[in-house]
Amino acid sequence: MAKVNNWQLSREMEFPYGESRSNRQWAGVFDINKCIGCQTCSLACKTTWTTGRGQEYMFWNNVETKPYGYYPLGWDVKLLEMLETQEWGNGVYQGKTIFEAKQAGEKMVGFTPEDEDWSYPNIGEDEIAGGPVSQGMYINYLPHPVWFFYLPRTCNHCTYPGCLAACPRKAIYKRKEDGVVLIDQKRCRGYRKCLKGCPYKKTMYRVNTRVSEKCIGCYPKIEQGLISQCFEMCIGKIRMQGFLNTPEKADPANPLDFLVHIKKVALPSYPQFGTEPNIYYIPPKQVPLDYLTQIFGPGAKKAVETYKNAKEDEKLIGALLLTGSTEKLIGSFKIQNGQAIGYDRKGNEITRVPIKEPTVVRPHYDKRLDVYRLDVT
Amino acid sequence: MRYVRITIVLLPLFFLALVLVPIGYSQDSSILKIAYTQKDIATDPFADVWNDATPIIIELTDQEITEPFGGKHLPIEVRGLHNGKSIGFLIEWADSTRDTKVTGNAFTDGAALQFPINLKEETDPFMGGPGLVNIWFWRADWQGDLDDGTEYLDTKYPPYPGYYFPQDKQVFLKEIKGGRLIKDSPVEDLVAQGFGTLERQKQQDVAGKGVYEKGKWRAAFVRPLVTNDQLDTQFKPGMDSKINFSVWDGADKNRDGEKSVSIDWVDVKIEDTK
Repeated sequence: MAKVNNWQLSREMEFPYGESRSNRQWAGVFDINKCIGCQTCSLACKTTWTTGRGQEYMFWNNVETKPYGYYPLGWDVKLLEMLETQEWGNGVYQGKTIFEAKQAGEKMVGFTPEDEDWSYPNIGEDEIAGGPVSQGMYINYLPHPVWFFYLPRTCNHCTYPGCLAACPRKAIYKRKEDGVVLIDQKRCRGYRKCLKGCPYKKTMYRVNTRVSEKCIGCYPKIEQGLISQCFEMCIGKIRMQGFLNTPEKADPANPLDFLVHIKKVALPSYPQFGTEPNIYYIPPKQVPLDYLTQIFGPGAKKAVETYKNAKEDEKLIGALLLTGSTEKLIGSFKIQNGQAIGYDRKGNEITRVPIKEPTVVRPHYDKRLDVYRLDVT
Repeated sequence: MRYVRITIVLLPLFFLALVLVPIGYSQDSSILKIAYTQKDIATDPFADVWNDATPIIIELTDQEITEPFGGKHLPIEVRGLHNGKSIGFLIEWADSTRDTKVTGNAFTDGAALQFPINLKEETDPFMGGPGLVNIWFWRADWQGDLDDGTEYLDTKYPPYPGYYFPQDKQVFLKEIKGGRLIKDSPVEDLVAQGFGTLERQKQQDVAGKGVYEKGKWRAAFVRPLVTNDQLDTQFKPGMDSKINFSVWDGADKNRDGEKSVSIDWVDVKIEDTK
């Protein structure tokens, strides 16, 4: 085991291979306050990549309702139990990662889902936590006493992938040029160690090819400067895709760096697993802090506060409004004359959105048509 | 009274001897003798020809050299034959389940033979290195595909008529016929040089078959004594060689290095052609 730096844990950790970061890191920011659970992302991915025989059960992208939704069943809670205590102190993770909690004869802590575990992608959908719900109950405060939220999930293209570490054949590799993690279909012999090793359970076994598959980050699109299918098709415009730097190299003009490193409003899911995942979530503000901290780490409280006050921060609002406004990979952005402008990595303008939409108020009664309007703005 | 005492002492010894020296087993159990026969060597593991060979017992043990560990203590019965043209190995072991169906978390039974390619080169008995090893790998899932056909989701629940599976023609699924991966042989001819280096050879030279009967697998491997493949081990009558064994139990979730192994090379003596 080598020692590598995991900035999400604010400490070094053990990993089977030495630190070797990609030149650029594929990353996404999901504002799950805006996710409506429509599954358009899931279907965008499904129709693009997993229409074949043996892929029927596969959702490289899925959306589950938290806290009671899982695909596959219990993927996170089972591992949380195996990891035992996961304390944080001053932003430093005090517990063990999946690599550090391993036992002799194993490369990491993990479990392989059973076939039935993949069979209920919609389990727990829209089920609420908390309570009780009394008659006439009216909620006008945060966080909500009864709550749920949608958690869209893809492969995190981790900096320290559990799947890659688990593979005894080095059939899984991380691309130097964009950090996308891939399974070499020719080297894979279907041992399914990656199914156990990936804490997010995003590698999947295909029974007719007898090898495993996973989200490929739509790398053919990334290579052309375009965003992945699940990002582009998101009708809620909750997803922003680009490349993320490490915190010490954070570029305030890069909207991902800005949201993740500078405003710290977007957080990794289950950073305590230790894989340095690269999908960052803006935590849902209606959810109690204990749960948010368990899933998004100790930064959850500040992230929710920052998000709630976003309207007072023009640059933050600008970055959030650029989310989902272009099908191209965004490299940098700036705010100018009340507009947020997005540029590609070469500096060409690719999108422009107003910080404040112009408002027109129409009279309730229209004399000319002699009608009353319900929709006046 | 004294007579009874002697009987009490001697009787268990007699039965122990019966267990230890079963009639029909080779006297020197540390050497696998490849007997010469004039008959064709069949891939059917229950063919009569296999009775021409004398079996020996090899004690396999669990693999705990490289992570992940796995396997168990497992005696296997091994025999070998050649007819001057082909060489055949037959192995038999107890397995309480016939695991030929694979799913996300269900694994296949299997058995493999391993040979050093260059006998003069130092070659590790576990996956080789630095010398190359030639591995003949029989897989129960491929045997099941050939014997039973395998039920997939789309055969159980057919899609609507005319549904097009766009991936059936993809390049990386070349070996798939009609959406199925069907191997012509349940045995794969492989090469390796250390842990994690196993590769399927371009040229496949080994035939074989496995049959499950009465709680036991019996698998036969047959190959020409000599091939034109540099990555194959080569045999000739009268020579000495080495062999090593691995067995996977699918029900125990064995795969990869999680398997039962022989702890060192087993000496092989190929009988001269008579």
